[in-house]
Amino acid sequence: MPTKDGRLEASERMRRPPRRFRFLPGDLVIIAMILIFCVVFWVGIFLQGKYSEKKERYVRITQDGNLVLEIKLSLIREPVDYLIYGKDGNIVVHLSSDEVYIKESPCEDQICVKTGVLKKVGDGAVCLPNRVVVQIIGGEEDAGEVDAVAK
Amino acid sequence: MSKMKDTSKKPETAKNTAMPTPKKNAKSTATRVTRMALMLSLALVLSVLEAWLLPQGILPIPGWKLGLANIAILVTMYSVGKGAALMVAVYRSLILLAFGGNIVGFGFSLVGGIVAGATMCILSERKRISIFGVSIAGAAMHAVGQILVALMFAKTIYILTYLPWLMVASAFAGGVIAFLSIPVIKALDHIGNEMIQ
Repeated sequence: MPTKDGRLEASERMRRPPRRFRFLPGDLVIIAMILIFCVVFWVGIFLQGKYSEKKERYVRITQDGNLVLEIKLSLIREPVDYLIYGKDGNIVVHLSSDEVYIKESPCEDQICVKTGVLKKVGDGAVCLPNRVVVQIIGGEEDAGEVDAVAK
Repeated sequence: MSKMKDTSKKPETAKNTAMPTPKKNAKSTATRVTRMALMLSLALVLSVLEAWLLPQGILPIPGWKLGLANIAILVTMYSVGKGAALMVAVYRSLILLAFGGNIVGFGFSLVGGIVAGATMCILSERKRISIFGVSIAGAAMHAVGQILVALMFAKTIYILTYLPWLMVASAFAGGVIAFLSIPVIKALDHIGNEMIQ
């Protein structure tokens, strides 16, 4: 019920909204805003990838935000499986001089395994249940950041 | 004493219904509560059903869901009220946690639910936005909320690169959910009226 000064009471404001079941122009505006946001994001990611393409590739594995392993991909002579001890079991990360992927994980959803092969700078796989992140980073510029993460 | 209070309250509600511009479907509190409970259970069933029908493995984008439980939230919003819809969203997360969910999933579900619910409540009052826009915006903001929680858990900025994919997929899902909700809202109106008469 509107109060004397014309405002709606709190309970009134939480009532059900007017029903509009037909598509309206405002909906298009919302869709356009989402798309523009995403395109800007994609362009940003793309440019960032271009910029770091020439750099040396490193693989970085973190667990709970702590650095587990960081190594230049070109230093890996032959493919190895790297074990990370998670709380429910071991995560197996396949490392080779060309590509990296999570081979096995004890987690239920297996999202990290299905993410597949990581090759380019900026690629990454995340296992949220075990809080493990595997990503490919580029260049020497990240050297300072590595120390920050390791701390 | 309590009976006295009840009787004293009754004239007040009568006044409410006799407002200068009475609501078309003024519902009793009992109807509202019943609908909320019904929608809460529907939300829970749909959450479980979705996990069965669409296991994470077969989906093209990891972490993406259709969000069938959102049907229940949308229906609550349009046939009970906005506050009720927010409550259903929060209770759904709590009950899913109680019935064998993990705390990570709870964080995702709760933050996503609150962010999306608030967005939908605000947008639903805008004149030129229909239920489709409300649902799509809610789904997109749900994706943003989830990415924020993921950032907190994984502590890597890398996860942000994943946001646009999740957002577009969620927006699509939001449109589908709005489409599915409309008949339910209309059907529920019908049922409520029959019961009152």
